[in-house]
Amino acid sequence: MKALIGLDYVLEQLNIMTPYGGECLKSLRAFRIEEAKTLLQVIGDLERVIGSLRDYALFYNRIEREFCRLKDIRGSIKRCRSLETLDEIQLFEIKLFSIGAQFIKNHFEAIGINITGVNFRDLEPIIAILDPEGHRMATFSIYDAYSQELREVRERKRFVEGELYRATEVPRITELKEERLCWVVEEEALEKRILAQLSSSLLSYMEHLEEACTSIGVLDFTIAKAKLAIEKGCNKPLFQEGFKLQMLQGRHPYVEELLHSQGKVFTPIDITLKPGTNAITGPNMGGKSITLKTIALNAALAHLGFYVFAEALILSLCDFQYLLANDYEAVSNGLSSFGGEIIQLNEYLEATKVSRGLLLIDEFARGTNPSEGRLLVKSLMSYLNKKETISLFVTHFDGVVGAGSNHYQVVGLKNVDFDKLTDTISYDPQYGLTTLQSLMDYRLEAVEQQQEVPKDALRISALLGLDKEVVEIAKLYYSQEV
Amino acid sequence: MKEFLDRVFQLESLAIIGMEKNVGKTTALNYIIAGAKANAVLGLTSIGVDGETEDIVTGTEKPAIYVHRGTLLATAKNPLLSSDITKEILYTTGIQTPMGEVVIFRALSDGYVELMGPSINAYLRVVIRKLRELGCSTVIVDGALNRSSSADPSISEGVLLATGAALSSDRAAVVARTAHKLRLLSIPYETDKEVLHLLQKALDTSRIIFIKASVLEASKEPTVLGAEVAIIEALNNGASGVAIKGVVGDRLIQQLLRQVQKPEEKTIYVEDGTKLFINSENYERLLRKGFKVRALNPIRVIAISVNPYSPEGFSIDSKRLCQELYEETRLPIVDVVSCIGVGL
Repeated sequence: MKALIGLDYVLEQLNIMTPYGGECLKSLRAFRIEEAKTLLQVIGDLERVIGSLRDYALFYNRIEREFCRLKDIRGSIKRCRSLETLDEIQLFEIKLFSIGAQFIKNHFEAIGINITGVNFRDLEPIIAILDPEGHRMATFSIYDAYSQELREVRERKRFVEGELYRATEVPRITELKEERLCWVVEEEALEKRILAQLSSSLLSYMEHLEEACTSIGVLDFTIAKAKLAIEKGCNKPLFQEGFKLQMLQGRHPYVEELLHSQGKVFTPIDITLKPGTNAITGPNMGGKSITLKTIALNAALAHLGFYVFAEALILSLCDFQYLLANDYEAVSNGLSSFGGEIIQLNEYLEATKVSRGLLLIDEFARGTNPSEGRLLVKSLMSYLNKKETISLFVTHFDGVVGAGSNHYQVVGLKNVDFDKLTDTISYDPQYGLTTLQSLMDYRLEAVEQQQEVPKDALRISALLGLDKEVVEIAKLYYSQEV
Repeated sequence: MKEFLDRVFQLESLAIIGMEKNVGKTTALNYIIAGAKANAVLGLTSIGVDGETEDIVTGTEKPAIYVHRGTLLATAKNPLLSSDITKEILYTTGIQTPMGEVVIFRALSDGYVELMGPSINAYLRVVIRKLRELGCSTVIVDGALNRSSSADPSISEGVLLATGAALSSDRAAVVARTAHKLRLLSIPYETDKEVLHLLQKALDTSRIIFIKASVLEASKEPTVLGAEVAIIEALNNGASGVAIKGVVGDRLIQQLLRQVQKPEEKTIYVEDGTKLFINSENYERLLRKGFKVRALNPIRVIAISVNPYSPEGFSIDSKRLCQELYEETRLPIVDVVSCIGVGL
């Protein structure tokens, strides 16, 4: 589902810098109706970051530079918590982390905004423990200052080393090496004791460190979301009671990017959906499936606490968002695509019985025979129309959209003069495709009265260079039937 | 011998590579460390060994080195923690080895340490750069057994080649094999900047490149092994040369010698001399037939160090060995134990 609607594509664009922010991404999930308050907080946090990014660019830059330097210390925290002695390198990393986190804390506080889940406590006590000589250097050593005894042993060791450096006679060298070894053994014993002491005095601060990790994660993740929102021109979703979904100038970033690389422009989508059944009809290649994915993606982003790819998205919080598209063949264990679809659908229908959500259905029953498929779609529409869930059908079956349903149609090729056109096109399918895409009006218009589905399939086939003879025969049949 | 040390400490980085085990690489390294000036900050690391089996072999063999206070060292976490030096941790690199992450520390006392650096050239480059950033005037890379890749010029500015009686009990054989290795390491290099740039860029994406009149053509062959036929075909059909990424061995050379027409018009490009594993007969025939062999990157061997003692217990007359090596190679030759230096 995440890949299908393009959510993975959006998440990949997040520039997350710390392992802690990565953790936020990994545990990302949609908020449910009862979590409305938290979701609004998360979006409010995002709004505040976006609002302060420009005025405090310098501070954010410094914070991000510090992010890049942070190492993952969660392993060391765990070790310390299980009363193991930390080694010099783990202490070094805790010290560096604490200095970095303290720096981030100060800059974040200077920006002066609140973000839920970002609660830095003072880490100075940790830094003090690991910097007994007060150098404030980003290095660590088992400092002489930890113990007078250690200082003396090391002085003696160094003295012997000096002697050793000057010694030239083998017996003297052997003797000095022996002596040095004694001091090395003593030094190691003392160092070991100090490491144990340091580990136990840090133990009471582990909660501080864990909170710092979480805070940095949330901050990193929120900044990444904010920067993406600014860069891509996203807007804040608006959550409202009175269940509906209204999207103005909605875009799909993946498709938009794809079109952009071909020098084309994405046509933004306006649509309003109500509880019960909604439908989009329209010609093939009219962008209906993209519309579904655009709605699905933006609704999902809003429920995940992101800004959305639209001028506006007004919606009510719901418990699920499903897209039933004919992409399930791989998972259908020997079922046909139609069979797979039914099984998937049933699961979704169960959800509509216990809660409300958003159910997007792309060309249901297209894999079965059209006369039955048409009836199945009609039945499903009628069933879902009584539910609180917003269902949106994309279909090109005729006459399935019942009165009272909210019905949109792709403007499509309605306003194109085909008689003029077919003469000018050659039978090069690539040329036909380009012409088709340039003529297609991807906008949606509301259908007030029951109408026939436009008969554009033949025109499109002709445009794409379907064999002339077939087209001629088809025209004959059309005139008899239509 | 002072001249030798001066030469070493002029370099930003030096790799020490050995012709074989027990050629006194570590002895030479210890000698250089001991000879460092008091105010110079020396950085030390090694190209690590992949895989555990080799670690077992060399781990026991490899004597720890004795360094002085103030030296910066980049080594894996396990050997670092078991070193008897008083340490100040400066930087964790995030580069993992079987012996733990590579960490850079400053020696606050003298003492023993085992060097186990990154095993990948790209990482080694990162470590050397970091050591330089942290203030090292010269970084010395202890090369690994049978792996001369640390001589890669993009990694080390100069190379010290270690050789000795471990190669053979016959002095002439030691001289011949060492001279041959030196010849491979210091093959002529391409000086045309444009050609160089084009070839290097092409080798970023393909392992074999054919040079045709005015174009470079990437071969589809994924490795040199098995690509012999394709290479010969291309050379016999208009290609004036081939550039190869990775090792070039005797197998390919023998086939080229047998089957390529007009060898005097053909050039074989390799990344650098460390990639050539060709015996002296084949190399000689290659040149006689007129093939040109060119490196894209020059390697500068600055001196050869000699260990006249073999692990089996015999020894070679060091003075004569040094003298003959000098006559053969015209490079400075040193025996750091006996304090012999020829051609300094």
